Amino acid sequence: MATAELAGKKRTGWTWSLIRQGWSTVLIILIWHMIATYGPYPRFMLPTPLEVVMRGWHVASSGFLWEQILASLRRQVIGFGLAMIIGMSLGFILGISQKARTAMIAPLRMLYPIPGLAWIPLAILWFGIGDESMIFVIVIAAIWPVMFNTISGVDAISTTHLRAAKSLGANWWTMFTRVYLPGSLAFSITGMRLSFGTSWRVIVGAEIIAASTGLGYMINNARSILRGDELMVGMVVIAVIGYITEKVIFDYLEKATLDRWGMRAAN
Amino acid sequence: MVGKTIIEAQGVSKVYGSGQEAVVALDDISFKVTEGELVCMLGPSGCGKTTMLNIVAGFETASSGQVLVGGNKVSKPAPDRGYVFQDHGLFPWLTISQNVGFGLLRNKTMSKEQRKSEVQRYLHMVGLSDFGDVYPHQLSGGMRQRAAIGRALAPDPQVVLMDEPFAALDAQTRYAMQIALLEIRDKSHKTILFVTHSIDEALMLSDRVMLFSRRPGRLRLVESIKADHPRAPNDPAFSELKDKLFTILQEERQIDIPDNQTMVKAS
Repeated sequence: MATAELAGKKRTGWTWSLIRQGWSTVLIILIWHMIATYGPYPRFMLPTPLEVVMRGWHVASSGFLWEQILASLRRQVIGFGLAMIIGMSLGFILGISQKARTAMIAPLRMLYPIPGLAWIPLAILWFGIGDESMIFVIVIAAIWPVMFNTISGVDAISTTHLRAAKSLGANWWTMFTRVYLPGSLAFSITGMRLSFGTSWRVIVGAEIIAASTGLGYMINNARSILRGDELMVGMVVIAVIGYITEKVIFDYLEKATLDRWGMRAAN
Repeated sequence: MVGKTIIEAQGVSKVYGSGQEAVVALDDISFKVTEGELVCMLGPSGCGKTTMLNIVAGFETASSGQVLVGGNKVSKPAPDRGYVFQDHGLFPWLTISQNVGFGLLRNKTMSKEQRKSEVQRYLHMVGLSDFGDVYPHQLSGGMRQRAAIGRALAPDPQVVLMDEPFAALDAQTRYAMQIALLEIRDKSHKTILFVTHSIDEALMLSDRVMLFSRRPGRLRLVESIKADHPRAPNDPAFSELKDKLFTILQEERQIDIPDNQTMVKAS
């Protein structure tokens, strides 16, 4: 490219971009392979990258992997969905109504520092072992980021916008759908991202402790039968799902809303 | 020609705080605005002219006295008093068409097509016919203010209240917008109450100028301007009035400076 030459042979193009981003990962995998192959650790503890891939293929083709993925995803979707609905509703109520906020903020602030996993024994006590207790734990853990961020989002809406809407005769429904909701969206989406991350981490922990299906179960089970390769397959899948959701869902959501409206939180 | 009184302020006072820290923003303001007039409220910064505008709008309440618009006492914001903010106040998450049509949403009897054609009419009136589908962040400052004016006009208000709407624009754009406002006024026959701290702007636009003193804001001067449009503030015919306004404004701005310091000309 002529520009590349003019700029003193600066390397452009997507191949170079891929290389710049990817070389450290490749290096890590190589180092891992070296240590696994020539190091002092038994194979079940530190399998080589290739063995992990092969085991991954095995559990995928046998259907086992998909069953676990679906089990975890189902709980995640239901739990996260409920957390969002409850969290955002509470967020708007407490954000818009000063009275509600003064009344309820204290007990909520006391509940939220309790880590999600600490709710598991209570969940099992109430719901027994099974999906209900898993979902309960996800909801309890994931409500907080989305709720507090939505409250901040409502606070951040400028007085000018609220006044403009009122002077244009907006009723409460229009205020909510056309002002409060979109106006607080930047904060809400951040809250949703955090909530999703929280709930995904919690589900895996919860499954390790108290489930017989799911990715958390798969990891723990793999440990108990000394299959380090299968354990790592589970971890890789957990990471990939988390990454894809972030990229596909939340990045897309931001693009379709904040970017389109020129409202990136940086202002 | 005696017209109908549309806005009437009766002994309006506004006090913030109480006791020792009480701040009197407005002190016993009374005036009348006739239908179809363009009246400017002029004064130094902090003189309470925007507070007065906000009381007419219903965003703030008077501590004593009252404001009548169309014979009705004002208490809350409503679409019969359109408002154009200094920073346009357009909703960034709505297109220009959706912004302009916002005040029409409450009209249950209007069909979607009717609303669409009304919006087009006002877009055309403010010279933004081709920009209905863009978002505010894609427009220049002058265009945003035009959209804001269109938005305030669409619900067919009794009066249009404007708070230094052109203050943030550069000189050329500002001049163009003043001309545009006069055209819009001719087409729509609206009564306009306009806050400014620029003498030139007041001379350009007003049928009457109301000059406020510094805090506590009192009406120091009310002058009619009968000259035809378009006007050039540099026109020698205005020099007497301009001097008068300038001198009084300077007086009002300098009172704060203690005697033992040199008099500094305010901007």
